[in-house]
Amino acid sequence: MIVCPACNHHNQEGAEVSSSAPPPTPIARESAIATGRENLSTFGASPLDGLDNLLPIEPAISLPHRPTPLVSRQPSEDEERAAELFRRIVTEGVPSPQPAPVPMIVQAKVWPRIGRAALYLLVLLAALTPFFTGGQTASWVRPRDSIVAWAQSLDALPAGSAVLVSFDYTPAYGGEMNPLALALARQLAAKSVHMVVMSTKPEGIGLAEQIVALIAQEMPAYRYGESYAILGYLSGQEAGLRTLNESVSSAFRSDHVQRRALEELPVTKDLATLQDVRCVIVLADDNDSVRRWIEQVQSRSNIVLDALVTAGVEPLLVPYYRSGQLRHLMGGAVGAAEYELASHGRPLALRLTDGYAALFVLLVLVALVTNVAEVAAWIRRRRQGR
Amino acid sequence: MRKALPIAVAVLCGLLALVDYFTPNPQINAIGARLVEGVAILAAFALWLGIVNLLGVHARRIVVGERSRGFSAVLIIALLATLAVGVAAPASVEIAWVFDYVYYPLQATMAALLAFFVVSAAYRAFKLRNIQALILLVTGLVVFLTQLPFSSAISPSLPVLRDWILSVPVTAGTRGIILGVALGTITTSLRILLAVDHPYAGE
Repeated sequence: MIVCPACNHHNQEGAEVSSSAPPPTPIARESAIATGRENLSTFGASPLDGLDNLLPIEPAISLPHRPTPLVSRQPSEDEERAAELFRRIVTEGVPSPQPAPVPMIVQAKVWPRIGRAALYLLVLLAALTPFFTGGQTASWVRPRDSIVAWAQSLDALPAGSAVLVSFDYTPAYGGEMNPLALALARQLAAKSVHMVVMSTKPEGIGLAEQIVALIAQEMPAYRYGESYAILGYLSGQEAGLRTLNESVSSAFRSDHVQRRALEELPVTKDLATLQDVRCVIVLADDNDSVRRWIEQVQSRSNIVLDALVTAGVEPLLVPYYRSGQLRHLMGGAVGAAEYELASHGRPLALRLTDGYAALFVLLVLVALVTNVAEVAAWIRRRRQGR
Repeated sequence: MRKALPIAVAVLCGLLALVDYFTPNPQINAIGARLVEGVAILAAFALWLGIVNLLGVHARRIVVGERSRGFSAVLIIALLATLAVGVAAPASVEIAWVFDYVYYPLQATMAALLAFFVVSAAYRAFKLRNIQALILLVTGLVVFLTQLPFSSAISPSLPVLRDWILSVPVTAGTRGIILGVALGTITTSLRILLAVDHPYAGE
């Protein structure tokens, strides 16, 4: 029986420490003991001094740990390339911007001036078509299921519930967006749904005022402050939307029209955060505005976000619609005409469908005439060559 | 010190905003909210800075007596008049008049010219010089046809085709663009956070 002086542990001499571990060879054991002695000399006297060769496991459990040698694995070529690329990306200086080449305006040779004037005249005639025909093609419009479903979801909103509408478009796209905005405002007002209006573009408030002024004329019972309110322009883009997401009163101290605190207006007095509105509807003429709403508001608060945009912007937002970040996405003139039918609203975009049809016919004609003329010129050149 | 202090402040603010995004700690969230509110206020001041700069540039043109000083004078008078009415009565009939009868028609006119340019461009783009031009022509016409409000009356498969174009090729391309933009944003943010770039220091 051997008693360890450090811990008073009793052990049988020569007892197996581990049945699975192979017994150390004499050379290895001596080497380990020698290394242990060297280490002990640096740390001073050990309580196990003088007990060498008595405890087989003694060097392993009583000696200080030896530093684990660092495994020097060589990085692969791919890893080195990736590391170098990362280093370059985060540390390299920005190259001084080169002046953009100025495009030279070349006078068109193929299209004589008179031809261009005739073409522009045809475009003008196509745009004026609805004034002469009065929307003959409107009866062909059939709203898509998704648009009918969205119109029904707005119909189902209870009277007195609030919806935030952001007019994030400019007058440049008023022709395309105003029918959408007007149809939306009419439907909300008809259902007595409260409309809280704002804009992240300075011009948007002017457009919002135009739309709500029309609604106020049509429905006098839909009053400012009681049924709808214009909060105003929200500056700061991402920062502004993030502030709005945290607290509406932090983003807007007062309303835009009467300059009253939001707590004083019946329509906004219960509006503390965006969780208090049923949904946010963004009317936008660029994808950045909608993207900001998705990134700063929808992804943080998980609110219901709908986007009504121009036809040119719609494809850029389809990924967000597919991922569910946008509950609904509607584009431009097509959407406006279908939405007017689905919401049983007054036809505005529907009256313009003849213009779109005329412009399409014109484009097809231009493509046909251009190519026929091109082929005729090619045949003429070949004959002259022969 | 003049260089180090702005860099330190910018990096600190950037890191705080980043930590705020990922941490539910109320103290850090409160600091983050303050910083964001500050950015919104700064953005509003930037607008004023722009106005002052614009006034300065055009006033200098008038003083120097450049040929375009007449336009500069009109700009300054219009700007100051609109500003005065807008500040005094932001939701007044006067400011609505300026918007409805000056600003709106001007912007709408500029955008309306696009229709003429589109037709002119269509003439150039739709020339069948090679197979790529043929694909462009066919795709352009199909997309335009599906954009017509009554496309389903022409053929019931046109709206289906439109949905397919938007769902598959357009979504694939757009997702690539969005991912590229996101990677670029991460890189730019990382460079600013690591103080490699300091655009706030005028560099």
